[in-house]
Amino acid sequence: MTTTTTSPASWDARFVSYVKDGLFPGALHRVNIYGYSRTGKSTLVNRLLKTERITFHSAMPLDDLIGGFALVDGRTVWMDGPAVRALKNGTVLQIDEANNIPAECETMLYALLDDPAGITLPTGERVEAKPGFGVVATMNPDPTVFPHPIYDRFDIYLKADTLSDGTKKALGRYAVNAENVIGYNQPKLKWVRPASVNAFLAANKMKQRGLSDEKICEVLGWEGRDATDFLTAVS
Amino acid sequence: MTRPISSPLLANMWRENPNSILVTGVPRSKSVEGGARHIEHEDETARVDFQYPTGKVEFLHTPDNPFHRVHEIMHSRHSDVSQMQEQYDGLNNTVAQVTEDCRIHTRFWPWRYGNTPEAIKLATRKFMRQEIAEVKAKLVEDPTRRGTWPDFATRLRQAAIRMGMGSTAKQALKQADFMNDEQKQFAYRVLRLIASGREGDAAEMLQLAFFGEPKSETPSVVEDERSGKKRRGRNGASKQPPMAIVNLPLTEAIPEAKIGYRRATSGSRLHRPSLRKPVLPQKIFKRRTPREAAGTILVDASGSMGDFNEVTRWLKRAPFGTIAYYAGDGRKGWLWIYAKNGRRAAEPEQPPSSGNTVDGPALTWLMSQPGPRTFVTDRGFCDVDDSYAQIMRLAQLEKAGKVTVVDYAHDSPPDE
Repeated sequence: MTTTTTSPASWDARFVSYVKDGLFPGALHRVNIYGYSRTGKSTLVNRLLKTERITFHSAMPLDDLIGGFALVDGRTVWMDGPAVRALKNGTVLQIDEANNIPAECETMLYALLDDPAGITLPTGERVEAKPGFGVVATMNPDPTVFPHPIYDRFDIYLKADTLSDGTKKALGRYAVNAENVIGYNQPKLKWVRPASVNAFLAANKMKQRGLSDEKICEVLGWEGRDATDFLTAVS
Repeated sequence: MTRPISSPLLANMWRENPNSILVTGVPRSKSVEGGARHIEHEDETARVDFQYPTGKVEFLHTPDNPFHRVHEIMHSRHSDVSQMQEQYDGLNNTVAQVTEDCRIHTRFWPWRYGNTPEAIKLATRKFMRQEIAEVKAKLVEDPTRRGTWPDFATRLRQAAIRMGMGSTAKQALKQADFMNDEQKQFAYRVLRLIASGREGDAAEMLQLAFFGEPKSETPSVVEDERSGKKRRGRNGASKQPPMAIVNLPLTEAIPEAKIGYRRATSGSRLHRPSLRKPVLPQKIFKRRTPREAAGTILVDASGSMGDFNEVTRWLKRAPFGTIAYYAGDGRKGWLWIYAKNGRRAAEPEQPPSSGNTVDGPALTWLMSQPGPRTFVTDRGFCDVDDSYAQIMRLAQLEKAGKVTVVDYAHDSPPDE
């Protein structure tokens, strides 16, 4: 069976359609949305998916991500962090400013971005991801800032180079003006997703769900010549 | 085998694509160690560099055009250098290239019939339109090139591309718009051979038709230098049937082969008409001069040409030069030299069989004889695999002015 879906043009419409089609979280678990600030990346994700949310900064301790022991009524009790809650509840973990990966959290992030995801807590408890778990990382620079193991783990990359529908609504009649200044004083986004092992893994997951090669191209973010190259290479 | 140009002046015309999606389509087993590399060109450069002597893909050179990118991927997957050397040994380079292109397109187009992605279909159509527009522009400059090798080869390849994408042979050949039905039929035969895995024979047919005999021929079974094992040569390479040349005893002087004369400033015999002129010319003598037997006439004596008396009529009407006729029995053939140097045989020998069979060797013989050359034939070559190629070859030679074809079904012998 081949799924034929009309391809929405803007990044936010695409993201919404992937969620509605059950592609994310479902066949695919890891999305990276990068692009200009104030385009509505984090807000859209949070409102659409009711996510567990964390904002990275370079000095962030691991406890902020997975949780830690807390003193409750004179006893030390383990308190789950957002990542563990997302794993246990099968919800989406939203990581804002994902480019600022704290050194302490880097390897734990590998585990969260694995498929299937799972981590072992300092208590010795092993937490495996429940169905519905996913990770959405949002950030401003392009994905080349990531170390390769993280860079190659995302299934979907979306380039936020336009205002999301929600942001446009918030801007009202000034949306057109805001759209014109969206990239002011910000580095141009020229990155194109390269061929990678994970891209083909993601492609295979989508293929197993009956998506056409053309649709797979669109989800992987390959357009024009990259799309025809993909179609040729996989033929 | 050729490395990309490394001149810094040309560096902006190409670049390596280290993250190429396309190159992932080259099978690992066919790539050099470390994987094939993809060179993107700003111009129309498109080729695959195979490593010597392994034959593995080293570089994939492509322009921006998606059609070329598909084409080169197909070469990298399905062209085998050592096999190509065997199949196309001794053939003109462009014949080998065009045949190989047709082979991969008719047999290995990456998508099933009718399933080519829209973007690639559009790019392919656009490429073919541009290519045929270029051909048309060239033909406007020089209309005599219609039907010659570049024109035919372009249309043949376009037909192969269309067939690979799902058109029927009939549709593809119609759209290719060959010069005439003969070329269309010939193209059909070539493509049919290629589709059945006999690309070596197809290439040989093309070579024969447009460039003459191949320079060297791979024997059908050759000894492998390394292993001593026998391996196959060009696929099903059909040897041309043998042709015996029979020199008939030239016992009769040809009456029409008169001795000529020329006027000269000295001599023993006066040229009387010159004496009647008011001012006496310097050359008032005449000297005997043999009229050189010029040219060669070859007569097709097969059954399709009618009764052998008709053939005889033609033979006797042609006084000068070398006159020969040929026929065959399906497995071998004969070429009788009936007249030469102003003398001829008393009677032509009746062919034991009335087949064509040796049209190719006979044409080769004719081309080895001094010109002007005349071929009396109805062009109904048959009996052997390369008959159609020989029809095309004759048409090309005729077009190039190297031979005059007289169809004696319609034309009359000279002086009649």
